[in-house]
Amino acid sequence: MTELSEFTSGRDEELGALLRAHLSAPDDVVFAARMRIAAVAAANETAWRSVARWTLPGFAAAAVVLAVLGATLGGATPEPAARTAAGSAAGSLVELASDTSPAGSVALLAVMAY
Amino acid sequence: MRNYPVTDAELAAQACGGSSEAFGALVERHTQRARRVARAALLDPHDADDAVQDALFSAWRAIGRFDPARPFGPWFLKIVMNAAADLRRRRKLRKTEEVPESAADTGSMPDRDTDRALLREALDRALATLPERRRMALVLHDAEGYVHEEIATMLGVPAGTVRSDVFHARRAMRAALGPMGGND
Repeated sequence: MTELSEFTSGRDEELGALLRAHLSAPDDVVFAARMRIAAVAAANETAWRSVARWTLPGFAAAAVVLAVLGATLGGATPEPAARTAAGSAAGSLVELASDTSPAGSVALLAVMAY
Repeated sequence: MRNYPVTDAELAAQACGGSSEAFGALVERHTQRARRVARAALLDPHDADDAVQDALFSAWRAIGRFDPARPFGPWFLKIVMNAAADLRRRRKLRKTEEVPESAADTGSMPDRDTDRALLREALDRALATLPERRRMALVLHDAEGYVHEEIATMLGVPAGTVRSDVFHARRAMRAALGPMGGND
């Protein structure tokens, strides 16, 4: 190893190489590739959760507003059975919207698409 | 058509803008170094891998606060070292009564070459005897090539302290390794 004083700013290349080899592992490249996949997955999941957290309640609120507007502007008083169905549908939408898991989000989007 | 590799700064800018692919590419580029640093911090390969993985999640959560004009490597390594410190705290809470047989046990694979095995053991022991800050300063400087000022930022100490830590760590390593460590 190179003899260096406290005030030398250069590297001890020999000790550095020894340490690098010692701290490295044979599967470093595979591990790095695995971490890349994990990083992308983590980033996508976070992004999706963020979208789900802010967008789905918005969709649900819009659906409820549209339902109320439809009933008001339609002029006709809905039949009790239809009113119950509309209420139940709105409740389900709110329930789906409050579920921020990917499955819940997909279900709500499927409903919206339909 | 571009025929040069994408730089860290370009990837970091894209990652800051929310690109998961760019973030993944950055992580892959810096993982080997991060793994070595985590191993030096924790002296345990399995804990080190856990710390790198924890750091990856923390880095993504913090990417919005990262300045893409600055180098990504030191920023990520600082997160890795914080993750290693958190992990050590958690492990200590769990293993208060469990005393390891050897503080320098890194769970390394069996070596066929006896000399290499002896050197590995000696390095494990020597690294384990160093105070953590000195160990990190030595690894970041001599093994990873960071300058004192960068290490000072990562470790949160003055550059003069890093310089002194590197000097004392080298001296301790030289004494611990003896003739195995090189040409002196």
